[in-house]
Amino acid sequence: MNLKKIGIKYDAKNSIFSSFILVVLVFVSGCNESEFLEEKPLDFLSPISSYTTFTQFEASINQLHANYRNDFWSTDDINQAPRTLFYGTDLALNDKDLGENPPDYSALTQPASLRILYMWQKLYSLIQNANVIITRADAPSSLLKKEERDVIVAEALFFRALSYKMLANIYGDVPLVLDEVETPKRDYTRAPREQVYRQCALDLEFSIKHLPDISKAQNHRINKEAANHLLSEIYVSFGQWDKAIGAATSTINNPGTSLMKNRFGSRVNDPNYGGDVYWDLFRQGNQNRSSGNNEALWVLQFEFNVSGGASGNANSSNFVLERITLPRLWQARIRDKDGRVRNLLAGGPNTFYYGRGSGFQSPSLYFRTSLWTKSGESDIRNSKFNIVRDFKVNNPQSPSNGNFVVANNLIILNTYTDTDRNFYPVLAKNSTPGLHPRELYAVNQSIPGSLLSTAGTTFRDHYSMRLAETYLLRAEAHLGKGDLVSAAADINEVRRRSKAPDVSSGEVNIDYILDERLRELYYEEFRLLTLMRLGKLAERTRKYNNKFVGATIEDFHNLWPIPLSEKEANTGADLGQNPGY
Amino acid sequence: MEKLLILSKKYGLVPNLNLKMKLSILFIFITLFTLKANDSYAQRTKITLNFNNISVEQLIDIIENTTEFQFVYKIDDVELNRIVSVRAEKENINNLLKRVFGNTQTTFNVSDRRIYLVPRKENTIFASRKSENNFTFLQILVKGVIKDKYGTPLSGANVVEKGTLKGVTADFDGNFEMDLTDKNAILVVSYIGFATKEVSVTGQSNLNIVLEESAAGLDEVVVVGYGTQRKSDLTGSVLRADIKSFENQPNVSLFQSLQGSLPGLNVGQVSAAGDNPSISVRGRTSLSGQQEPLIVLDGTIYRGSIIDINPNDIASVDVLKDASSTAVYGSQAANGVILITSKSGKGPEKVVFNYKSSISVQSPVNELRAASPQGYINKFINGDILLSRLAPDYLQLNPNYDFTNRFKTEDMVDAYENNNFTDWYDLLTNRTPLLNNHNLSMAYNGKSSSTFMSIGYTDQEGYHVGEDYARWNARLNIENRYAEWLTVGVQSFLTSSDFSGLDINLTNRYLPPFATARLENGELNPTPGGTFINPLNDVLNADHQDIRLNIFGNIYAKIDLPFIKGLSYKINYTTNYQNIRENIFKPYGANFQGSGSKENNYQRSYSSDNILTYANSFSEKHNLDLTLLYGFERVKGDGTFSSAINFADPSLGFNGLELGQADLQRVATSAFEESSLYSMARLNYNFLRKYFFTATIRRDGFSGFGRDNKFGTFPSASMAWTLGEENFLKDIAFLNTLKVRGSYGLSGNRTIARYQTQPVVDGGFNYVDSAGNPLYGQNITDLANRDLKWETTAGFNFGVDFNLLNNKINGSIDYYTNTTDDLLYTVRLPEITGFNQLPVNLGKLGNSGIDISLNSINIDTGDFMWSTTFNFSRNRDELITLLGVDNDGDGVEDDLISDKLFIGKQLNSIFDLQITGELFQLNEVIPSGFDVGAFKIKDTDGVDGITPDDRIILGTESPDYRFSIQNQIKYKNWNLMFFINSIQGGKNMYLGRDDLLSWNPISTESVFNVNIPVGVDYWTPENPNARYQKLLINVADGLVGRRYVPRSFVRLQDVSLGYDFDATLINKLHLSKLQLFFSGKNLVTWTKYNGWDPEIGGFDMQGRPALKMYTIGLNIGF
Repeated sequence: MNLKKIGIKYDAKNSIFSSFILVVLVFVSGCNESEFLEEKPLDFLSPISSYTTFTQFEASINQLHANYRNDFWSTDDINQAPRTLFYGTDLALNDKDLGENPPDYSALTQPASLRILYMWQKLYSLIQNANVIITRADAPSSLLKKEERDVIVAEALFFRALSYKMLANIYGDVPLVLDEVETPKRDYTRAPREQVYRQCALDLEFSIKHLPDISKAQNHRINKEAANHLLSEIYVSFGQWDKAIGAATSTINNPGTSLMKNRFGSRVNDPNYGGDVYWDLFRQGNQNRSSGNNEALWVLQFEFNVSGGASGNANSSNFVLERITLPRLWQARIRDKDGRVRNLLAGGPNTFYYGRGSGFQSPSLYFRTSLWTKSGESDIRNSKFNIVRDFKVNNPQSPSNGNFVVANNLIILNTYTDTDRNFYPVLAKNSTPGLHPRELYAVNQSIPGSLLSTAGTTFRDHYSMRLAETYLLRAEAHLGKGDLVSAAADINEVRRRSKAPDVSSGEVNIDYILDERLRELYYEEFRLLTLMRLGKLAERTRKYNNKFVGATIEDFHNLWPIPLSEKEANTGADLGQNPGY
Repeated sequence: MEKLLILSKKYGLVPNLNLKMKLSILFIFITLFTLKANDSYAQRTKITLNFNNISVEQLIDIIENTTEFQFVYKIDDVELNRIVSVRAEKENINNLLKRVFGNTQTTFNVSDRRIYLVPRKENTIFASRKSENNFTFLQILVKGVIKDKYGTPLSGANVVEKGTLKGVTADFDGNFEMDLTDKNAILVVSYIGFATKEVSVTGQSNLNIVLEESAAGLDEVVVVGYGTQRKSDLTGSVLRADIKSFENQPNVSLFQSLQGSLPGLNVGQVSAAGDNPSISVRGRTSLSGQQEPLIVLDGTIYRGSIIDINPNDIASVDVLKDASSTAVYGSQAANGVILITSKSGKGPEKVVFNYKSSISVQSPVNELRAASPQGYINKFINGDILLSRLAPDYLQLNPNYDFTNRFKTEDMVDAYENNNFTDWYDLLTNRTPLLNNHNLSMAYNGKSSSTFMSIGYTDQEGYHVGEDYARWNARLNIENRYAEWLTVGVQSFLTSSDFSGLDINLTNRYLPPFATARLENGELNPTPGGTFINPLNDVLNADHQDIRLNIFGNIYAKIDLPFIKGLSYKINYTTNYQNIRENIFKPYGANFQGSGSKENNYQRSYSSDNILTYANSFSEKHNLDLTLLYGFERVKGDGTFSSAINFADPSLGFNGLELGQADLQRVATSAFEESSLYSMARLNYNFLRKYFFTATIRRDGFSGFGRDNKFGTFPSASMAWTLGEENFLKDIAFLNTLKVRGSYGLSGNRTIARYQTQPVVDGGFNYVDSAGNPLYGQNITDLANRDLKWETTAGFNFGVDFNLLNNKINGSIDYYTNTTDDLLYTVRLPEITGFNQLPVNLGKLGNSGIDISLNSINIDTGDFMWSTTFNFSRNRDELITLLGVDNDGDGVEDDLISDKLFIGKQLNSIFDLQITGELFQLNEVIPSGFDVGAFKIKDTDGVDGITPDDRIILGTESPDYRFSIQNQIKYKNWNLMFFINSIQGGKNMYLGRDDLLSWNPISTESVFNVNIPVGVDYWTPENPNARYQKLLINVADGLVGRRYVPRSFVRLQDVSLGYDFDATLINKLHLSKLQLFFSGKNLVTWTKYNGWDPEIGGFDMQGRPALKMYTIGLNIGF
């Protein structure tokens, strides 16, 4: 600011002007501009300081667990996991008025569809979170000791391998990113599916070396046998039968693991329910090893009304299988003897009627019938406790009050002709009858056990990996090798626990194993992934769910397409597309 | 003055900015403190002395040493060696000096502590300056009265000494008093609606000035940002709002008074109590950034809500539209600038009180009420036609059909059978909500100080229950001139507003009528229909407080620098403190175990500007006005939120959150800080007031910009030529004035908010261990772009101002075009990176348009006056380029269909399937994916069959043009104003949805969970040519047809009728003013649009009506 330039003469003696000039000059020149304009975050953390100490790295590991639980097991959204990973298989069909069951299977697998993007997005996000840990554990800013570093990286690698396994299952060839992404990149190319599986195996070999033994590990963290279990599935996935058998055997032979063969846990003495060990496996508090359960390898933790107990809203527990898979019994209507329409269940959802199902997905007709006929009547997994097929009218207004619906031939009013949201067999494993939290009880208890409409979640922890599946994975490996006798032996380990008759080695084939997995692991494994891994999705869906989703499925549907928006965003290289899309 | 100098020395060199800030505060406080002292030191000081035979020089020394007086003189002008004898006993300095200099060549002038000794000249009371290095504190007092040609005093007229910034305002009787520096000064007298007049003082001390009416308004002084300018001198596009015409409207928000009244200023309709209307200037300059103009209140950027400003306190609103005018606000100016100036106490030299009160009755212009119980039942019968009716023509009802099957619960069946229904729409709306306004103000103008004080109270009931709004305002504006060269003032307000009452979820208006609100015993039904929690709980049982406080204070000092004419300095310091407290307790929350929360957010912004101005004329031809600015701003925020559920004892409500379940008490905290630093220079120059030139440049720094882009620079230049003054046009009789203007400038839009360039680690208790203990988790949630910066808009404006037919018609036409570069756009990243987006600056957006304003005085007979104002504006925007990607290889940049962005097309384009208007009928072959009663779709892509590829651009949501007509009719004491406002869309612009999809979602039985609006024309077998689709239809995703129709409307938006009682009555009552007024708002709306309101838009369950208002009010001055 040159005052002379604009022609002002001034008298330096003049006190007003001097003071004014000083003020102006101070403002103009005296200020350190960059200091004044420096931006200091006040209420959020910066990456620079957040990945240094062991505690901070552990917090980042906790987040991987939270991501996995929240992204794949915590919503009832039609386009998100877990719903998309059950539907369109031999397991489940969706209620018609939810906009699915389209005439054409292709509508489910449009490259532009949200459900196709969802899995891709969440898995790569999980991979980036793991990569941040892996990269920063070795960065100069890291304060980790060698052994701390190894155990942290081992757990991060487990999640990375799990994510890549799922990606390869669903999309086949996918881009492999093994470092933290710090600058925008748009030129990814896809690695072959087998290379992806091999990378997973490599990662897990490291994990197994450094993760704690299952008997020493904390319940909510990853242990060595969980890693071995995953490793055996990955080896199975690309035909490394011996290595798969080795990894599975390590888990099976660990003295800390065994199938639960006798009744146990929280509701052994409940007079109203139960009756077998398969029922006990899925009761509240029975999943973690700390409850005496040695079958669990990795348990996802849910807790009602606790911060971190569920995704998003702390005041709920959104393990939503009850809502997704159980019928809306509380909306079921009967045409009563007097001609009037009445509710099967007065007073709304009821804990004694398996809570607040919403009937989004019901089991396929195959699951309801032939699957069990094939297995044999003695199979406790089809006991009246585990699959509940008839219900008493509970409506004081009704002349039929106290009568069973099926046994007494009461007419259930169907809104739709092909599926029924309100009345179908209840899968008890997905609910906690009689034990919904008191906070969710309705005010009006004139019908005891009446619940609020917010009660639709499964109030227990969830097996992410269970030893029964390890046996079935090893059976798959034996089958792959051609050792049918060992395969049958592993399958029978699982069947005997459920009092089901043995399978002979001659009967064992991949479809038998898939049937057995359906019986043992329904709504526990991501059915879609298992079928995709084996390339059996189209075949089995066509065969066992033909009336609905299977009618128009084609072989190319064994892989999902690469999401369209992803191809568009990757402007520097062509991601290509899976055949058929 | 020595004091000041010392202070400057002591603090002036301290480099730390905080200290600098303190310094400016201190500076102002000192001036304020000295201000408290009485106006004249000279009047107070009594001198006692007794000296014989001393020289004048010695006497001066003695007086300077024993008092605070300082003598200022040139040695040549005073006979310092003259010997005098002085004796004084408690004498006034004036008397003393009179005796000393009584018959000498020297005379004196006392100004506070200063005594100027100057040579005496004949015929003047005080000597005038002569040499260039002289002092300019010599004063000539001039008095005068300003009236119109009918002799009505023009209270509030401006009087400015030409070539200086000195000015006064005439009082209620048109009187003014002013100190001049030159006996030959020229006074520039201006008043809104009158032609500005230049009056030569030439020694007169009592002036009688008569102003001629002029509708041109070209001569008023407008605020242009860091200064004012005569409208006739403008080179850019600046408009002053006519807020006076709307002052009898009970507008709760100041912006409502601007609705439609200025071409190029787009103000929306208010639909909820306590809401501000949407506002924008000209066309869009940003895709994702801020779209609202910058608000400047009393010279300072205002970060608060406009609703907190009492419209009754506002003296003027000026709008800067083109880039050359807005460039002085740099990186925040691209959307235009609105300058709001509050009232001052200038007026008569006495206390004037004014009380204004009004009461209004509101009612909806148009509402979509829920259907009757029978209408609801028909919904089932007409939705379920396959079940409810008999094949083949489905005209016969199926006797076996029982719609109660469809009811969600037996409670609803019971309610139906007992004919027990609930009108939810009625329960959740108020039929005639009231609006109350009270304002009391006091204005005082003293010799050296003026004060404006006001308190106001507004209480507005909402159309929807729970939406009530109440506001208390207080304002205090004081300006004090405690020396001829120093003016210090404060402009401050305090607003406390009450938004308490939970807003209802508007979809609840359409709850099924058989979900009963109350039980037989009259108590609330806790779960109507057996499924949801009664929404009346929110109205009746929730304890909700939403109390907001806004305190604004602007302290300023203006110093006319003494040694050179026209140089002055202004410093201001503004602080604005805003606090929002929101407390909620719902005893029925958390499954009837109680939920509560307490939230406290505060924001404080403070800023200071140093403004140096120099204005002067050279050889009566060259007029120069230079402004230099340096300033800073800082905004800080801080918030706490705490909540609890499951209360052990709910009786303390939200004041006992600690009684909630211990492990479910939650807390969340937030804070932020942002800083700006700026400097600006502006030069206004004109030659003979015929050729005008303005150039500005602003340098703007903002903490939120990326590391390497902390500062942006925004230059502009503009020119104007008063063509009408040229000889070749001077003789055209009908042309009074003609001026052309042209401008070009750059202005910015910050677009990016604070912290947007920073990567974020999100941490929280996100997981649990097997014992249920929360575990802390963290991850990186954003990939940040460190290079983000502002958007830059380059604007060209060309305008013509004219005044015709003896000033009967005047107006202006502006054509403009803007191009915005570096648009903030979030580009997609492959999810493979773990992130999906990155904000970047790219692309180019253009908009251009025309603004026309015409005023005419149709009739003016003295008693009867009728004038009309017509405004017209139109704007077109176009996305010129964005990503620059051509993946499909057609040589043209690809559109971004997913974001509905089309290169070369307008923003807000509607890209969808085109319906034919026909519906599929029962006897037709219906293609796969469609249903009977569904819209037929036009096949546009030439490929057989309807697919999403048949989507085309159907038009745009943006208006085609807007216009308004304002008529003002005065007859004796009556004053009638009516204002018509219109937005037009033609065939395919200003489109809005017109289909039932909000109530009739596709392919789901949830369509039966809600009621529908009464009387809608939907498809049934008996009504095959309906406007809307059949209820409950199955249409494949991507094939759903939607109807878009123009929302064009013409609205009689404001009418007001005022009656001023006769002077005789007023005098009898000892009042100065007594006016009764009636006004109406949104009285008639002409439109074909079917939805809630064409201007608000929307045809859906969440829609809101516009409100009609009838007001009666009283205005008393005393």
